[in-house]
Amino acid sequence: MTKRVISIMLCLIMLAAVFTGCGSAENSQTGATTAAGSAAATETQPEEELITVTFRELASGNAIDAFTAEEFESTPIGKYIKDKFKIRFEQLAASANDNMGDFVRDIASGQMADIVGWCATPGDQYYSVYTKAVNENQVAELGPVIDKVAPTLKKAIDPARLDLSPEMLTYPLGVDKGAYGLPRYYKLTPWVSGWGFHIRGDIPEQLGISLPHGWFTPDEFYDLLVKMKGAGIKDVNGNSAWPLGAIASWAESFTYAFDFGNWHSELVDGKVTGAFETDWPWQQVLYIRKLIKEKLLDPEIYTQNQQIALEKVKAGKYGITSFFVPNDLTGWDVYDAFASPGKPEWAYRMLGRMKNHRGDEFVTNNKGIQAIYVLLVNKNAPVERLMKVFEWALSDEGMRICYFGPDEQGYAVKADNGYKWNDSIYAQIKSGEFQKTSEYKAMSFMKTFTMAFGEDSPETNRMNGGSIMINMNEPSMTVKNEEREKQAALMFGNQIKMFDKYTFKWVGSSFTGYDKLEPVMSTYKDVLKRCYLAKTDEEAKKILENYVKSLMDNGYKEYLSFIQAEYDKEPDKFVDYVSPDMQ
Amino acid sequence: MNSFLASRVPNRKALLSPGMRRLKKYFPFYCILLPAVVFFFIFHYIPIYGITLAFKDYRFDKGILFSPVAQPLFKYFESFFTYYEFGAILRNTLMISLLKTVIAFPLPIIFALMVNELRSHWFKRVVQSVSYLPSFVSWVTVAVFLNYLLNAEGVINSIRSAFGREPTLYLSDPQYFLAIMFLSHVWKSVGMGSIIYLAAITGVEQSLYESAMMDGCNRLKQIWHITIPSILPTAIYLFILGLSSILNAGWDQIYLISNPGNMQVSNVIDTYVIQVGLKGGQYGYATAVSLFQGLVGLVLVLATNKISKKVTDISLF
Repeated sequence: MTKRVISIMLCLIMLAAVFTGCGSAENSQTGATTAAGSAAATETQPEEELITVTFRELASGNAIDAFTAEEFESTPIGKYIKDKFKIRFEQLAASANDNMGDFVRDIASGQMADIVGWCATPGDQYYSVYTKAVNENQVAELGPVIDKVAPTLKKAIDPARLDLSPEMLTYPLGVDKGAYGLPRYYKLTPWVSGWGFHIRGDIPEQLGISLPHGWFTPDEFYDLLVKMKGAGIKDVNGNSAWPLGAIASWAESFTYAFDFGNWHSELVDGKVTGAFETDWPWQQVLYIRKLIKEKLLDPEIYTQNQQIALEKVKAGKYGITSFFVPNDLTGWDVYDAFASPGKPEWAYRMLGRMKNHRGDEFVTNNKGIQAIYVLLVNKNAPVERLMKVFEWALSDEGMRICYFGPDEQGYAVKADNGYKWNDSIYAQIKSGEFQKTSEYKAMSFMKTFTMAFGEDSPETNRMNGGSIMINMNEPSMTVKNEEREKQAALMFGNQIKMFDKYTFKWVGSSFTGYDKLEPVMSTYKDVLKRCYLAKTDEEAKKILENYVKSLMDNGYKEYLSFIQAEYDKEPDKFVDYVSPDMQ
Repeated sequence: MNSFLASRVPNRKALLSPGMRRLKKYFPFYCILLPAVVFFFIFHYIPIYGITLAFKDYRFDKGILFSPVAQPLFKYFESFFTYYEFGAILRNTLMISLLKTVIAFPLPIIFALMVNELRSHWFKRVVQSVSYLPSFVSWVTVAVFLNYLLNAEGVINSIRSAFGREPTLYLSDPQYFLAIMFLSHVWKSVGMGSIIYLAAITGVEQSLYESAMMDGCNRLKQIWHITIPSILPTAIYLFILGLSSILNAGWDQIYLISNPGNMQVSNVIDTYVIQVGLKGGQYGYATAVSLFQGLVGLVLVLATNKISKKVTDISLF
């Protein structure tokens, strides 16, 4: 009898839980406020009240340590900011392998950090979640507030200033594009902006090829790999090396970069054509399978973990690899491995890039991948007060303090063309001691807000490199850009300047059946890898055909029709051809 | 008079209902139980409302409760059931779960029986300690270890190449996946799994063995006729409980050793939910898949319990 009563009670509790739920007030509240409401909320926020602003940085593959508000305010620069703006900043911790998950959980639970920042690319992994957050009014509209309180910031993010990467204008971000992120410039000069194939330093001479080689069609590239195999290249231990290999997501990227077809959708004679309506994916599968079958490509690039991949690179196991060279050249295992694969003279050098299936020397992701650093601001954050901080950070005083700390601390001294570290701090920077301090953390954090003009801009150059350089221990990295460029050129050879273009994808995410289609669509990378590694062509073909059928069953055609309708409404919004890496 | 009145006044204990009497009697034990009940209520019952996500178009800004109802209602289920890999995912999940639940199930029992027969206490303790150790190693560490052991440049392939053999990609070849998965699972879990059986064996009446010896039973017959029947109820309880998670193939192990090369046999419901649902922010879809998984587990437990009751007269409820 008692058992029955308890069972019934538990069932009732379960039912009650199902029907009443425990939706938090925060969850339901966030959608209630409109974007305009955030400005109103800001106005009601007394400026003299001390507030803590949280910041989440998205850096896939990198763990972010927490930096608490208490730690922040205990530093000279933190105290200065607190006294001046009544604001304390706090950086949230993030795990290395689930950075995206942290972001998703934040916004899914209505707990988006006050500021979220990441190096942006139109094809970045945060895209769909970010777009959803914007569509669901979690992100603050910055335009009106910037107009009101931040004239310098407005000037800094003026699209007309994006002369080096005009393609970024089409990225659906910006204060006036309805997606309210705040694009900032991020250093990326042509010599070091390289995405593409890199070759082990000793091999060009061995094969008699000059660098940079230039653009490759898939067939030309295949011929080169065959030549390398014939030359019998060896690793540092004298064992045979693979002509081609890659690490991390670059293992996927290089195949898209050849672009046997546009991976998302492409405009063909005015019609939006989805890749999976064509045989482009199959052509790509066949190409990779051929490389694997002829032992030109290490098949483990699709299965191995990062640690093993890096050890292979360090052992000079790959003759050619696809690689993206970012602006920070040292300090990450990945770049160190490419800089010294076995022997110093083996440092990888730029080889060339991939022509698309039309034979064009077209764009793959290059400057777009880190040309801007995006800041999203939560609509419930004190937007106006934050914009005032950003505005100050771009002023001469703000930049100097964010880079070098408050004047009275004596970190910086006047130099001929700006400022530089004083001798004592510079010595600590070189020994790496300063980088371990909270001051360094706080300055690095505040520096984030100073870069709307761009690292190479005259505004930033007044700082003579400043704290940007203290990320790196090497003396050459702590001085002038010129020397840094020399070192980069030595390591990676000449880079080829390229351009990005725009994608249909962000429009597609507004499709009403997107929730149903996306789980299927998002697995295409794994599907392709399975096809590459399948035992037989028949098996690979079957995997791909089944996948395409599943896409069709879940609304792929309707999705493309939706994009087509959007395109027909306003064709100028779109470009006719985009890089596959941007999808 | 007083004694007369006293006999008329009902005993306070007698006024309490049987339930209350029991509560009073065992009050300290209920106090000990309380934290567990509260824990289960908060973390296992209240969150159940989250399953409504399987039927909603989840909006981040509206939360679980106020998100609109999905149109059509079962669209996530439909999407999962029509997903081209649905059959493979279900088959893989069942296969791996069966290997772990059914095939691996008797191994801790056999191991416990063997350890119980050891006569040297010192050696017995060493064997037990060594067998427990792997369960304290995380799957992440095991996966790294397997990687170094089995990759193309790894220990096994180095030995092969020393004999002039071509390297074999064990980790990305589907034909080796189940063996790697099963052996690593057994290596990691048998020692710890045997503890409960060793405890059950310890509780067997010694007089039964003495009687059996007088009847001429050797050690093997004692095990067969006394030890195994004595620990059978424990084994059945654990087996039925194990079946409840028949569709939980053990996501951490699988997640860490699966890769696109072996995905045709390693893609299971748990890894699929993480990959598509949670990482991509598709909470509704992930919930629908998990709900399906939970329902299958529930049906299996009820069915097994019923069968067990009928066949062995031993059941959970």
